[in-house]
Amino acid sequence: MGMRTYIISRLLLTFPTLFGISVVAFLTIHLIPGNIVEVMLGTRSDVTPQQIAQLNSVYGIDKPLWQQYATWAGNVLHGDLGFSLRTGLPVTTLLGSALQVTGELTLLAIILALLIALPLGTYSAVRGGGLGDSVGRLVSLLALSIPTFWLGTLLILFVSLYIPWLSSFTFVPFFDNPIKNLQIMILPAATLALGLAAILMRMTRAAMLDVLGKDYLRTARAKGLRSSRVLMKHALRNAMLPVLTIIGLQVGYLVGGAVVVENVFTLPGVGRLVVQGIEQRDYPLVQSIVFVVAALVILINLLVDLCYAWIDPRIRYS
Amino acid sequence: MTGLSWGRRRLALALIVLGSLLICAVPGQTGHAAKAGGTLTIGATSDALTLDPTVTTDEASGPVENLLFNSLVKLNDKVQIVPDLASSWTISPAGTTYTFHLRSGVKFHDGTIMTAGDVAASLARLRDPATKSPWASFFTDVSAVSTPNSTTIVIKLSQPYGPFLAVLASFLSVSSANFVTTHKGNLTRVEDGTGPYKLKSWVPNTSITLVKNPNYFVAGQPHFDTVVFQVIPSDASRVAALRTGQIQFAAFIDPIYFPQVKQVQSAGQAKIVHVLDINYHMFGFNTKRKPFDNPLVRLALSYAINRGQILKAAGQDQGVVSGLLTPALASWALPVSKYAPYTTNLAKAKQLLAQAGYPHGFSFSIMASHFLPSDYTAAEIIQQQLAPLGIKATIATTEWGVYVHDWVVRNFDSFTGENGDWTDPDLAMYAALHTGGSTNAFQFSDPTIDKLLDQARAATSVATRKALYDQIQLRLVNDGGPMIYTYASYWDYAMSPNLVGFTYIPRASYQGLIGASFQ
Repeated sequence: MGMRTYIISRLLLTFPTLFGISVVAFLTIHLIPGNIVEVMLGTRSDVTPQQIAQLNSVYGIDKPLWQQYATWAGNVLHGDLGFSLRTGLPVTTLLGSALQVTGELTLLAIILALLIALPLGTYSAVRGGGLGDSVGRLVSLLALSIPTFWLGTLLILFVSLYIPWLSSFTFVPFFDNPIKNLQIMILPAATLALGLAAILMRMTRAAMLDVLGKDYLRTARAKGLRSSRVLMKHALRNAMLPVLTIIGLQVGYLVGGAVVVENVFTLPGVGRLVVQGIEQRDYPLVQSIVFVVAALVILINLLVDLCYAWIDPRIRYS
Repeated sequence: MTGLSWGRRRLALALIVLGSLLICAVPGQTGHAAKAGGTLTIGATSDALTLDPTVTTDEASGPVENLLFNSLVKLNDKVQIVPDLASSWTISPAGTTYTFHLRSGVKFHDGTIMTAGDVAASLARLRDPATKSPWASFFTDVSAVSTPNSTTIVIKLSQPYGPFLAVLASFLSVSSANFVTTHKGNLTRVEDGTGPYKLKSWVPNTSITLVKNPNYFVAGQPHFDTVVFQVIPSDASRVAALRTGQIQFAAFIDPIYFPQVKQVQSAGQAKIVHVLDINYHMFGFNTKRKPFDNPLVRLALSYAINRGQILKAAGQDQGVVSGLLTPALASWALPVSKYAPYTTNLAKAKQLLAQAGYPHGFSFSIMASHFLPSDYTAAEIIQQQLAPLGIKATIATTEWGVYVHDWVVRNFDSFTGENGDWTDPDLAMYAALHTGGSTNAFQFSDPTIDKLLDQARAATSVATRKALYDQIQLRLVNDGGPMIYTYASYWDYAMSPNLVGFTYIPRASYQGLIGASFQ
């Protein structure tokens, strides 16, 4: 099967997946007790039942569930994600600006995680069994164990006390001011990267250990190639396949982790937006965010699969 | 100074300089040398949802609206009604006709002059069913509104309504009628008030920037050039932002963070205004479910719990034991020494339970949400305090949206939570305690209380109303009402050391920044 056929077949498979996700996203938020009118009015407003009925009608929540789903799904097929019930703003606008933040956060976290994991994992594998390996594995275990919210809060406090110039709570988009943007994003990205770095480090170590024992590496060394060239060009490249797979699978985890990090660091990303939406029962917002994020995860995993052929030319899709 | 000797010229010059210094040093309205200018950045817990006070129900929109709009009257820091857009008013002897005389020359943010017609239009819009304002029901007694001239508005009520001025102060905000019409009533993200600040920009989920209104009708105010509401949801982050000077003002409600804020104060990076809130924490019952349909059981639990312990553990000792009306409403609240059940008495509780037919206790659930962390902890403390009576309380941990839903449909045995005193005892009590009241989730019904509430609402004499509300408070606490009142919390308003002139005004705390400035 050629690359094009492979891509088409994968894309066709996404339709039933996305349909299922849309139904699940719609039902889960609607089946939670409480609705936007109740949450909006809380427990202190003096309203009449007639006013409540009017508000239910305004927000469209008095219609049967199937009708609400059909309206929303029909609009999504036309590219219209609807309007946030709470703010009245188009979901596309809210999600667009939030995705930029979460996208940047996720990308920075992946880059940082790779910068930490690849050298450490390689070192650990090369020094297999030694003190360096043991320390590396211990550090990765600690990194995996530390809760994100705890680490984030600790970093905020530490920085505000000892590195105040790094402390910032006013988000600035990257293209408005790259320096200011990175000043804001470095801490949350590092917080999010830590857990992923630990996983990648262990995967890199395991994959490298497997590759380092292969005959072709012995041949490369026998041919007089420098050790660094053997490691970087031959060993690491072959070890990257499982690492890449993990990154693809971890994108979903990163987006979930971003929920916590965005709330701790006050970043206006998708995570914060969806948590607010759930708390406020903002149905169109939550449904659309879950749907779009799921679609993005599917797309990213497709891209990861396509990268295999680039990394290992022997791979053919079938 | 031509013709004066050199000595006399020096004396005159000295007197002029001294006089100028004295004039500059004379305190302004707020008792400090107000310095104009600067940007005040406020740490907000969440983004505002709307700039339309008519439909505002969330906690984040109100602070912004405090700075954008005015009403006919407002409350001062002693919860007394004082002039706002109306410079004076009269109330007819029957208490049904209110005549307000407006200030002249007040301008909206678009530069147009405010008239009585704009006030009438704002009130009509609030009452219009098409607006779907949750606050419209407070104005159902308004029977007629007229504007004999551009600076007079007359509001007639169908019956006397004692808290009417407090209701106006709390719920009516005046906008330009033309502006509302132009925007077809959609004022979610636009405004045209008369307030000290006007909207400059709004980045959703990030910040709202307001700029000084150069035409504000109070001379010399406001002082800041710009006010920014910066969204920082996390309390820990707001403490950090205060420490680094990125924000200069923030409110802290969760007492767990008070020590951290105090540390920032000790480091000389902030100062704190520590105020008593007008909300009270409570433990409420569904009086339609056994055993809470029996007032003796409710009274027994009131004797059984130790409010001081709840304040210490749940409120971090940052508050005061309170009745239905908190000490913040000092002119209305009875001292807690008047309440017999406030002295914990397990023997008395056991006796009452036996009388009610529950000598060995009973089981029930307490609905509590982590959205209200202090009240969740209170539920845990209450659970322990009731155990010696053989009462087994199970805590039903409930997500906030579910909590509200169950509260609305009355699907609970009991719950811990907060209630608001608003700014008048009628607003605190009527809807929550009158038979059929819209926030009477307890489904409580007591004809005596109903009669007292109706009488107090209709009375216009403060002394008469006070006497009636005293009776109500005593009956609700001493005779087994639907709620056990526990405590009122302190709030901390933390601000930069050089921010002066902030005055705490209950339920409109950000109005207290209008006279503030950087020193």
